[in-house]
Amino acid sequence: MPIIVNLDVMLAKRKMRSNELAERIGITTANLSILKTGKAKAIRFSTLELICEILECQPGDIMEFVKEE
Amino acid sequence: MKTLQKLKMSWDILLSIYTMYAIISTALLLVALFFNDLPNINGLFGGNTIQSIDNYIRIIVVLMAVGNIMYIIVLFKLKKLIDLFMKNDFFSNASILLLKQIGTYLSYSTLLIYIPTYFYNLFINHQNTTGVFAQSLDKTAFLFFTLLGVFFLILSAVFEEAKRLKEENDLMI
Repeated sequence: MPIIVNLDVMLAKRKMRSNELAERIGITTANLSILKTGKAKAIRFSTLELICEILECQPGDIMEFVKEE
Repeated sequence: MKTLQKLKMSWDILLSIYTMYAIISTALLLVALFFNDLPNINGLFGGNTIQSIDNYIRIIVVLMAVGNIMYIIVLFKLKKLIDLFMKNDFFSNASILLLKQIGTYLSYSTLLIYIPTYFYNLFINHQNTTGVFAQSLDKTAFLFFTLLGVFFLILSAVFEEAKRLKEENDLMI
């Protein structure tokens, strides 16, 4: 998929653990792992909103578009 | 789920009775056709007496036996499908494959049972009627089973799409 999720990077920058983020968003760690590994097919605006709010960042900071060769 | 449980129980009973009946009758018919002197016995098919048994009839009966075996396989696959549904395993590859197999087997077995007898009566027996294998040549039954097979194939395609949608929904965070 040409959309790359950089959630790991942002988590490291904020020095936050995945478990904590999952707990604060209200999703399971398994689902957060799906999102982090790029297996997710879609993300709800509400989830994105919470991630951005908790990590104090913009959607573009956790996702980027890379054109497939 | 209770409905499925009841369905499964009655299905198991029906399946065991039908399987025993089908296996025994098919085996006996084949043995009688190939090892006994049937022309002198006069076989009885669908209420019609066959005066002589030629090689054409032997081939037709073998095809019908194969078709019947496929019907039995379909019944077992339906049992498997009910088991899967009872485990809440609706949109999995296994259930889609089972539906596809049921549809294919049902269509082929219907063709194997009905088409050869039809052509036998048309060209060899020179009866443009439902003739020798009266019950097995019932045109309504032929249409019903063929459409049932097609229905299962369509259902498998629908389940495939449903599986894709479920997967997409599961992977939406």
